[in-house]
Order: sequence, then C-alpha cells, then structure tokens
Amino acid sequence: MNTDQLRRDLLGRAQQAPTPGPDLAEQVLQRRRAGNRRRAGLLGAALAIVLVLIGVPLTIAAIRGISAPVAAGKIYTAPTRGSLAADNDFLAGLQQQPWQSNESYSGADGSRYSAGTDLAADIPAADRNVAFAADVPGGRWALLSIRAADGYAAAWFTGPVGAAPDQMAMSGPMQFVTEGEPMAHVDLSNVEQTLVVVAASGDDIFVSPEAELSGTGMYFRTSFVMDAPDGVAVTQVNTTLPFGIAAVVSVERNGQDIYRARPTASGTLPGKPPWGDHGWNPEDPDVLANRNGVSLAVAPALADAMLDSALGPTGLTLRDLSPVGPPITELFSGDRNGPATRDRRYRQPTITIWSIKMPSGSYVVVGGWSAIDADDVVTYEQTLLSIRFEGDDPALGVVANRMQLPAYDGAPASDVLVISGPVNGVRAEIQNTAGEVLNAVDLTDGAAVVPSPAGAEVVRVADDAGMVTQGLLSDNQYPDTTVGFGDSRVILVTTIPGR
Amino acid sequence: MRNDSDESFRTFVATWSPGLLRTAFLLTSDHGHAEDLLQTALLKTSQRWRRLANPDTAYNYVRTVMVNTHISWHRRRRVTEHLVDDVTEQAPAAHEHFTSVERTAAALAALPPGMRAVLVLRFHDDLSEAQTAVALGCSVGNVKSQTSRALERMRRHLGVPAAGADDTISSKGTP
Repeated sequence: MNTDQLRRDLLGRAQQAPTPGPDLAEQVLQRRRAGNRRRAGLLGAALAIVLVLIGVPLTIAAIRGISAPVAAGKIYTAPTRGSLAADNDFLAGLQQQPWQSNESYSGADGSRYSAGTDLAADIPAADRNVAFAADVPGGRWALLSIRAADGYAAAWFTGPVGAAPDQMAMSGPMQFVTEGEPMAHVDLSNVEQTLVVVAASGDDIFVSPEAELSGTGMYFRTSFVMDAPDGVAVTQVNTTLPFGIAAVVSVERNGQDIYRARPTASGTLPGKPPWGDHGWNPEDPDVLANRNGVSLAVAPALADAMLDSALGPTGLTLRDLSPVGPPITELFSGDRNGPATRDRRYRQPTITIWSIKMPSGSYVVVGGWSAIDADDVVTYEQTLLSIRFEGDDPALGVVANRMQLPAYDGAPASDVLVISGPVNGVRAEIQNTAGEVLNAVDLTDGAAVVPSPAGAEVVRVADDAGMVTQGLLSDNQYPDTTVGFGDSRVILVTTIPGR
Repeated sequence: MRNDSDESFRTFVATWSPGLLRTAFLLTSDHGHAEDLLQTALLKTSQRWRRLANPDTAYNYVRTVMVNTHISWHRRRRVTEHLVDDVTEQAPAAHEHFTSVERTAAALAALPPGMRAVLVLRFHDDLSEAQTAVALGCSVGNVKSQTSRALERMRRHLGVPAAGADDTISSKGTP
C-alpha cells in the first residue's frame, strides 16, 4: 500500500459516514444548558458547605472576586492585604528585616550579590512595601517589594506560626516584577504545602494542581478557581512530591490571561532524598524491568532528572504508575562500546534509556549519560525526552538517540548513536532521509552503540525472523507543561481560614 | 452562551459538521459512536465558544477534542471488555472478496487509536506533519514516527510489502 492508495481508500470509506441530523446544534445547546443547571446546583451545594464550615457570610459576589476593586492592576503600590494588614507594628518590623538569601543574584543594574548579602541594604525601610502579610496554614507569610529599575524587586518572607518580625526570613528567590505582575509561592518544607498567590484586587486566580498526559501524548490541565475576593489566594497543593512542582497558577484580569507559571518554591522536598534512598532503587525488579538482566548503575542525579522530566508535571510518583508490573522498562543500559553484558567490563560514562508507562497508556522515553569519578563527582546529561502514544510500546519498537559523550577515563569525546530495538533484533541499518544506508551494525540483545553518522535520520532493525521495525532518531520534546490543551476551569470554592 | 453566540455556533455546526462527522467515522469505524463522538466534542467546544474566535480555530479544536475523547473512550471500552473476555479488535483477514476500501478500513480499525488518528489527520484531513503535530499536541518528529509505524502495521495487516522499499537489512557496513 502506498499513501496515494491510502488517501483514496480513506476518502471512499469516509463516504460511508452518516449524515449529521438537522437538529445537531440544538441538541448540543440543550445538553449544555442542562449541564449548566447541574453545575449551578453543585455550586450552590458547595457554597452551603463552605458557609457552614467557615461560618463567614460570603456572597456570590465575593466568591467570584468582584467585590469593591482597589486600583485594578496594582499589586506593589496597593495597600497591604492579608490577615495581618492592620498590624502596623508587625508591618513596620517586617520593613526592617534584611533581604538575606542563600542564593547569589545579579541585580537589575548588572551588579552581582553573593549569597548572604542584604539585597535591600540601600533601600530605606520606609520605602519597602509590604504587599501581603498573613497567618497561613503552617506559619506567617509576607510579600515585600522595593523599587528597582523598570519595576520592582519582590521577595517572600516566611516564619513560624505567630512569628515576630525578626523571625521572618527571606524565602525563595528575589524576583524582578512589574506593577501588575502576580507572584505565587509554595513552601516545600512546610508540611501544609501552602501555596499563596498575590494578584491585583479583582483578578481571578486559578490553580491547576497537576497536568495529565493523555494517550496521544497531550498534556491536559484542569484549573480550579480560587476564592480570592481581594486578589489573594491561599490554598494547599499536595501534588508537588516527590518530583518537582506540578502545580501551575494562572491569573485572569478583565477576561484576559495575564499570568501563567509554576509557583516559586523554597525549602527542600521532604520526600526527595537521593534516588537510592527512595526505596525504588533501579535494581528493584518491581520498579524496573531490565531487558537482559544486566543493568549498570545510574547516577542518582540523572535518575532524578529523568524522573523529574517525566513525572514532575503530572505530580505522580512511581508508585502511582502501572499497578501491575514495573513502571519502568530499561531499554538500554551500557556504555560507549554497547549494551552491558555479563562478560565484559564497562567504562564510564554509562548510558541509560528508560521507558516509563503513564496511567493513560502513553509512554515517556527518557535517557542520558552519567559518570561518577573517584571523588564522587557526578557528571551527567539528560539527552532524551520523547513521548509515545498509547499502544506504541517503545520496547517493541526502535528508539535511537544521539549523545555527545565527554572525554572520560582515557577515552576521547565522541558523538554516538544509541540504538534500542526489539530485544530479538539482530541487525540495524542507519539511513538518511533519502533512504541511503549510512551504516549497518550487529545488535546485542537488540541494542548497540555506534559512532553517529552525519545525516542519520532513520534506524531500521531486523529481528531473528527477518521482521523489520523502523524508527526515527528520537528528537527531544520538552513540551510546555504549564499549559494543556483544552484547559478546563471549574469552580471549586477553596477557603482556608486565616487568609 | 449568549444568543448571538448560539447563532454563530448553529451556523458553525450546520456548515462544518458533515466533514467532522466523516473524520469521527474514520476514527471510530461505527456510525453510532461517530455521532456520539461528534456531539460530545461539540458540547465541549460550545463551552468555550466565546474564546474560539473563528471557524478555523473552532474546527481544529473540535477535531482535537474528538481525537482525545475517542482515545479515552477506547481505553474505557477496553477495560470493560477485559472483564468479559479478552476481545481484541480483530479485523477480517485480507481477502479477495473485500474491496480495497474495506480492507483498508479493517486495517485502520485494528490500529491503536493514536496511530489511527495520525493516519486520518494526515491522509484524510490532509494536514501537514506540522499541522498534525499541533492538532495532537506532540512534536513533528513524533508524528513522523507514528505515521511510519502506523503505515508499517497497515502493510503487515494487509500483507503487502513496504512501498518502494526493500524490507531487508543489508549485511554490509561497519559496526
């Protein structure tokens, strides 16, 4: 079959399709109206529950964030918001605190500040604005800002429950922002996993706890409307562990999306020790299925990076994946000379390619190289992130990834092509886009590493029965997982006392 | 949805639903499922109608919703089937009594839904690789590889050799 024939046949088949009914649009509109009525009923029930739970007389207008707007679009010159906004002594004390961070910074004027420097030392206390100060679950938080070139520099300060001003310390990175630019922050070391968003009064704030990867490899997000009548939302996210931050905050102002980003974070993830301490070590057959029983060590930093990129946006852990069978299939484990076998020694850096099966049935293929020297210094690079549709198991197909290996242990730097075919693959052919054979190589357990020929685009693998499987050189895909197709926003009343 | 929005939605459905239903039929291989799929996709689209400024945008949106909805339906149906029996989507064997269209339809129906979607978008809806990638939210490379694999499976199902290609691996070359 050629593609012209396929086009003709699909056209012929499509002629057998039914004809839409004349009332199709009306049926859809009726279903939509019925759905709206159901949602309105659910919202009413949710409101009633919230009113009972927090005992505060909220109105629909407050829930929808349309109560008396204060200078729309102003955040860093607006009056202080939050439950401590009227505590003048606390606010004055906050203004006195040093902006001391554990990170190094480049100032807006290009000057460098090393860790521990007071970043606001030259700013009189009276010129330091407190945009937000409140008791939130797990402690006291504040957002301070100072004037900077072309806008403001802003920083979060956090402290324990009931903290005095001198117990409030800078938390997370300082950011340069414009007047109307919201900020969102989560404290990962806080067991409450508190997320605070400070936007302008009247803004609608949405929080999406995680992205979902569909069977076609598309990321979907559902965002929840926060109860933020004065442009401040306080909520909790519980999907940030253990791999990165899955949550995304978006803000709508006057019907326009003006902000969408992952919150900044401070603290360390309590559930994120090095890979080897996860209890899911790579030698655990319940976690990782190896093709030929020989698996080389993976540097924890590379393992974390690969899992971060695959699981981080979704908020999932390995335990959430594949309730039946190991969630990871190791497609390749070896070095620049080929896949690991029991009868040969290997040299660093080692090369790893994994296929991770997601709940939707799609696969995330990740790979890279890593090396650990005698002083335990780790060098690594993740070189592959590719998403395969549901039903397209990478272990049964061809994965080919080009890697630039560094000079190491006496071996020179080299560009290699790592090939993983079906485990019964015996020979691979590397072609350019014109179908010309650039190289051919025998495979060991369906895998090989060869010098990467210029122009290589296609790899074809023949198995022991002569069946040929074809694959393209896997390109890296780093999709923007802060957005998702068909982003849906639902009304969920989230209220935390103390906001 | 305001009344003027309702009217533009009705116009959109009247104009574009026949083509969308043909795509839905190729995805599902079933009249009833195709109609359900289109109606569900239109319902989801109607909820965002004010944001979909022009028919092109809306058409692409409905099509993408159809593809993803179909795949989620496929997953649920498969789980249900496993409870009863391991019913696989076996297409009838290629046979001379079947027309080329019927054999192709059977081979298409035997593909995983994602691969089926790629072929339908590329070779029925005539989308470029880049447009298909946008519709499916994946990379152009992924569309290329999925197309290649889907065609390979179609050929195997139909029992025909690869078009214009020698399906053997040479013994020449250096490792």
